Amino acid sequence: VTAGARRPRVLVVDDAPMNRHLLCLQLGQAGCEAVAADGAAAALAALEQARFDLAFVDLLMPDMDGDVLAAHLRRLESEHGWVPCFIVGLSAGDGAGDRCRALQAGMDEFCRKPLSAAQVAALVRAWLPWPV
Amino acid sequence: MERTMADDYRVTDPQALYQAVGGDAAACRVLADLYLESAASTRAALQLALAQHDGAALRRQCHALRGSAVVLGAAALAAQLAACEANLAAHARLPDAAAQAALFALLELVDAEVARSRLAWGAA
Repeated sequence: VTAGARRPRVLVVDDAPMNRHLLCLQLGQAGCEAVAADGAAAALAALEQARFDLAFVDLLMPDMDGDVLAAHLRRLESEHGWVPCFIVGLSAGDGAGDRCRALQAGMDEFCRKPLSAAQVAALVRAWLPWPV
Repeated sequence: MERTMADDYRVTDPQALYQAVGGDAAACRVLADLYLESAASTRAALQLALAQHDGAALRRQCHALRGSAVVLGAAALAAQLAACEANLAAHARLPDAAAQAALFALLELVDAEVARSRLAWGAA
């Protein structure tokens, strides 16, 4: 199976149900298969089952902050030789340091919530290695 | 002048939600339902955190609710929650009685408008 023959698999990690559901809907509209996780523990469990092409990760979550999760994912990728997943950090906050915090943790991009459908589609096009 | 859906809403912006889901009214209904289903438990969690003077729990609740508020285009609610979060982060200060009353009053308005927009999406 070539990459272009399957839908991009995207992990959505956000403890806020409405934000999580919105992003999954938008990703579905953008032609992706979205897998939702309500926190870092669920995200790590999902990563034990499958690899993802892209991940959207909320920066502030109760069980583990998104930047810590991203750093952990990068370590797992390095240890296991996994193909790196593109990670987009998300925050509804207006903290000036959020972008810096996300990128320092190994995320590839940072966006403020909520994203529009067009923004999600553009991110998918920009970060996936094949056309959707 | 022609009336639009936005004319009937003071503290939310249903058009923001509609645009966020790419003009999918069914998706708007699902998201409005999600919000409304958790509205009572969200309010209870906020009240519990305030009653217990639990700043960490209150900050978490405010942050999670702010995520929903921005999706709903509830700018004033998002701003109040952001101010509460900022005060807790910087000074560990819980909102005073007036700020609490204002927050819950606004939350009630937002809930009512989301319920109304849910009906409107249902009719769309």
